[in-house]
Amino acid sequence: MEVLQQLILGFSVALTPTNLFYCFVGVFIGTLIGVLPGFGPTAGIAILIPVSLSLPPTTALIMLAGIYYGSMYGGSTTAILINTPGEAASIPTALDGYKMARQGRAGPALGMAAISSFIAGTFSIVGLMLLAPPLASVALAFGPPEYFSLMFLGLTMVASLAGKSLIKGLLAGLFGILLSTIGMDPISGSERFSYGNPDLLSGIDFISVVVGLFAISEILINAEESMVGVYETKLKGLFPTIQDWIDCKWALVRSSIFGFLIGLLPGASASIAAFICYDLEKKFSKHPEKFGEGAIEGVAAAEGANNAAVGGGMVPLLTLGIPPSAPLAILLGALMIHGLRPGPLLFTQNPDFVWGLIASMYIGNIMLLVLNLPLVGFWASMIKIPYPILAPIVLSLCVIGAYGARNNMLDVWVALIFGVIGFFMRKLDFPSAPVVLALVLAPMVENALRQSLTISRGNILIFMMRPISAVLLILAAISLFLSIYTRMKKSSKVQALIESSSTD
Amino acid sequence: MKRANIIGALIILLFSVLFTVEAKKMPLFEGASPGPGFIPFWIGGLVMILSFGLLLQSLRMDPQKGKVPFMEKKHGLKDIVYITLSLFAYCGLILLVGYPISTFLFLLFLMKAVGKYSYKFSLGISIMATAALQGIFNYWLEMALPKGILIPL
Repeated sequence: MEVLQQLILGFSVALTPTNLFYCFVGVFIGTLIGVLPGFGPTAGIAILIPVSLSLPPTTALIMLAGIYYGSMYGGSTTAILINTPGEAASIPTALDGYKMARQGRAGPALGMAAISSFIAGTFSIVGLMLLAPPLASVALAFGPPEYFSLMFLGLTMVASLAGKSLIKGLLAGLFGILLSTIGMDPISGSERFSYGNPDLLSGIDFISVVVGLFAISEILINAEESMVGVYETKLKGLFPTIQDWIDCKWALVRSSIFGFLIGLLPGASASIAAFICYDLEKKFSKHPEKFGEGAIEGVAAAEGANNAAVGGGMVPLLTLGIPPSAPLAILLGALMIHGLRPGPLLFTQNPDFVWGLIASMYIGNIMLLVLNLPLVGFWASMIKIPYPILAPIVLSLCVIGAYGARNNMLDVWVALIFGVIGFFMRKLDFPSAPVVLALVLAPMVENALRQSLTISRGNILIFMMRPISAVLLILAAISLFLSIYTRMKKSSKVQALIESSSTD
Repeated sequence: MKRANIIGALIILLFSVLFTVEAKKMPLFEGASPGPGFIPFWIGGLVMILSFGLLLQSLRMDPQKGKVPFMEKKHGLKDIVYITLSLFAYCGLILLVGYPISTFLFLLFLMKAVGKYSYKFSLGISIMATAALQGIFNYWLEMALPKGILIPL
């Protein structure tokens, strides 16, 4: 009952004209980002954070969150029409969606992608609504040792899940931690690695790093390929047939539930959820041989899962302040820039923000269904923009994004340098997601560690003496062990899963 | 690719050694609590160990696997160099003449040199895109864009 009351409060916040408008702006831009290959939600959100600074915090986060889940809808369009997923989370969609397009069934594929995204997305918001408040009240019992262990678990899971090589994933995460130490030490106030440069004293801005690693490096990587998107398919009828609905009914249910649960896990991104649920659906199917040849259930499973994972991922972000993936790490950064500290107190101190955001996600999902079904022809035409025209404009946007956070040209240079670093990282199979997550989480990890050791007077066993902290550290050790074991077994399916997440 | 992995591992190793040495200069402890150098020192040390492990892994890489070229398409290298150098020139130019003029020149250069479009087409798109970016971000959203020293627009 209390949840319903809070939700009504949320709708009263979300349904104001300003918030409705910016929700629409967010989902529109998100869909566009999803449609355009080579430009992901992580960089998109980072570039638009400075734009959001002029907005009230609730409005800003409604818009930025809309970009994230909007991109999940948009990614399916290019996956189905030209076999080029706009996002890593739409890679499994392309396996069957493109085959359906080749069979003249692009319309039902696009329709099912949008509808399954809507159903699973709505389910995950219900899950978020029901799970977040009790989890937030449990998290009130968390102290610095528990926070340290939880964030440590998040970092190890991300580093071990992302990319082809465990060593490279761990190195990427540790690199992010080292970057976060540049600037003023938050506890003692002393300078670290700034060498008297006043601009470096406030540290490396995470927006610049994200813009460089995810946007600029992507363009440099794509410069090697000639990106020719040929949209040839004529779209006939967007709605799946009755038989399609019968075939997909269990895929919709399973992808919603499992996608949400996977999204809860630290380190598990929307693309991992999509792969797992696609594979699961194939296992449950009476005709697994149809998967990869145009099975509409495959499209429903993948798209449902990647949208359900969004709501799942919001649970640890809002209740514990732990982002499970790179785009949510950027949202965490945005929350902090707007003066909101995610965690259990957010629900008690800022209920209008939390419930306004949740309510806006319901509204945003409806907007996306409207945007993606009738306007699919419009989105498909976006693919026709030649990449040599799009890329320079995106680079100019990157400069705006990098500069806008602190109005400092140093941040633009940092973005460029990280663009080059990101290019080499991609070439050498170093994942970028752990760098960003570590950069955002590390200051909090360091604070929690130092506070814990201050409490225990230097006794490191404090982390094992507190039950919740001990369990979390054991889970971190298990996650690392499983990662090593899986790589030793060289399971091809798991490898594909892990490799996909390196592009998030 | 094997050689690229070895070079990468060596660069990371060098970076970690420098970082750890610099971190050692800061206090590692302040009383019983970790000091400002604690995290950078230990993380730098961990990076050293892991990068050494990566170096060994790269040296043991299967020579056949290592034969995958760093640049799969050689013609792309020219475009990558153009884009990278023009990006750095773009940022340098921003400091002198501000965002609008430098953006226009940057877009024009890339569309001509990389996109291989005609001058007329490149000029048209560059003007429209620059005007749109300036209009949306500077005038509508009232975001401050970089001003140049010589021409502070």
